[in-house]
Amino acid sequence: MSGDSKTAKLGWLAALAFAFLFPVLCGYDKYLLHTGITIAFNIALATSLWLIWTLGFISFAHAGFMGIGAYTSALLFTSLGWSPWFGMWAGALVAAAVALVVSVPLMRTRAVYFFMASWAVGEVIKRVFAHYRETFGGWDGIFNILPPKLSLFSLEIDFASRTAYYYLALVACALIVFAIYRINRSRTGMIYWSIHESEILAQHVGIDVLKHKVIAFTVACFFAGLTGALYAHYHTYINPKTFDIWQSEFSLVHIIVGGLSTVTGPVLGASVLTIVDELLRPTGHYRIIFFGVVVILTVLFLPGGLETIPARLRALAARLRGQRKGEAQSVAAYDR
Amino acid sequence: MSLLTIDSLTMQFGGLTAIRELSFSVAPGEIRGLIGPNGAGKTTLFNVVSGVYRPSGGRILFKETDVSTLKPHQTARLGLVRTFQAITLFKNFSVLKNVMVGGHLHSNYSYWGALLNTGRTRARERENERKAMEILEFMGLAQYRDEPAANLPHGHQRALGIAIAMAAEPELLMLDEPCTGMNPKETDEIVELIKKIRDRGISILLIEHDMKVVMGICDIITVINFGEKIAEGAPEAIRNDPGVNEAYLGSDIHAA
Repeated sequence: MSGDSKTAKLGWLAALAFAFLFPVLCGYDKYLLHTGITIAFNIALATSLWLIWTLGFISFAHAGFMGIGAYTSALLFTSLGWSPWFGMWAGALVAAAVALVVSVPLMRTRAVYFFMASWAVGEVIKRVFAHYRETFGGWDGIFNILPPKLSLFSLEIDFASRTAYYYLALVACALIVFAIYRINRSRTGMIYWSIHESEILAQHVGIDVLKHKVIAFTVACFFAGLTGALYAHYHTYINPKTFDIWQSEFSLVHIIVGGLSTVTGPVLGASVLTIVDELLRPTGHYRIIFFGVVVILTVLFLPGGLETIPARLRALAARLRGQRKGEAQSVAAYDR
Repeated sequence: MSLLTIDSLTMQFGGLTAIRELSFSVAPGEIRGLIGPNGAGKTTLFNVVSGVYRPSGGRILFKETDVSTLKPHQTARLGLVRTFQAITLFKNFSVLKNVMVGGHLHSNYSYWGALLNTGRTRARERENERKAMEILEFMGLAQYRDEPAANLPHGHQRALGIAIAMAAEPELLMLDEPCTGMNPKETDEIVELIKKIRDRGISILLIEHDMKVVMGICDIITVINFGEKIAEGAPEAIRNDPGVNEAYLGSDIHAA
């Protein structure tokens, strides 16, 4: 994969260019723009969940932290009249602050205990929103969370316009993905993966494992909170059920199907599965069954996920040309 | 002045006493052997000294500092680095990357520098890579730099474990059975390496079952059995110690 970083860069640029031109290409179709916005949110969520995965953890509390960002920004808007421009950063910061406090005990647990503990954290967050009616509106949630407006000199942009919100979501999503890409490519990412590989060895060469786990979790939840705030101001209505464990599980499915080893995985997985999910909308309740089938099929027939497809195709081409050596090996690496 | 001082150290797990009132010290520049029958408490001692366990009693002094309550990443920071009996590597990382993580303490790392990927960060990482390559050359692993660690043969994996520890720039290197599972040729190579490491000014505390190795390179040998010290002295004296022979019973120490 590393040998063709130029191709990878071109791929990213092409994807970004397509996303940028998408409103024009789809003729400003409201439904398609809505799908685009949903993809952006799902990518941001899956990618930040993946950041936690680079240390070897899967958090089922992720949607909960998205909820904290959403509720913070929404309440600041509806009760204090804060502009969403400030509210969304406040939402991200509150999500990060809660994550920081929670992760110190949470990150002392391991493997399946971490799954259970994080699931409990997510559930508690949801129940808190549901329980305190006066503050959070109970199960009914919060209404009338308006999108932001922006006035630049004479230019007035009202993000109630779907096209405008599409670009807002796109920019936020691109920045989150880029930040996480950068973290992963740097020494920070190397440390995270080393903890994933062997926590005990990492400790013994002087890496403060708990500190890195707490920071990574906090940063990931900051991004989840930011995504949640943008979600709230887009949908204008939120309730506790939006942020329950299902949302976390969808993100988990996105990264498993997309692939776990690079940032391409969550981006591909979230994009493709959101589109598939929309296509299946007419099937109603059966959509969820289909999701399970997709995960099983991926694990069985495409271990490593969608991100391995280019390497697989190259290997196939090489085999057709009768020179099976190098490329076939790189696929074998994924099949391990 | 001694580099490491174990002072009446006791380690209990519930009702089981793994180490009892153990005392000894390692001088700078020394290769100290630590031997004893299986279950004597050798690896437990490594775990206590490196900070995996907190001792139930007694003290551990490293360079005059009490390290008894420190965690592994803190003892490593002070220059106390150990390897593992079971091969412990970052298996899916390349050999080079393994050693670069090993050198983390000396990588001048900062979160923001890493995130922003400044020119300075990139220059530092090139320097870190150079240092890691130097260690790989020293350990004779340079030609495997891009190979995933998991693909190396057993002997090289053991050597890589030591290379990772070396990258952490220890003052005292604690080796837990470095020659386990090696053929005689590989064993000879590791012995030569341990000598070379000592010649770099790094003291060594060595657990090893291969008596030929222990007798061949250690300056002083400490023998423990059931968590207690039963003998200490030069290899020749240990070889002829009746108490030690008795502790080993079946495994004849003269065979070496």
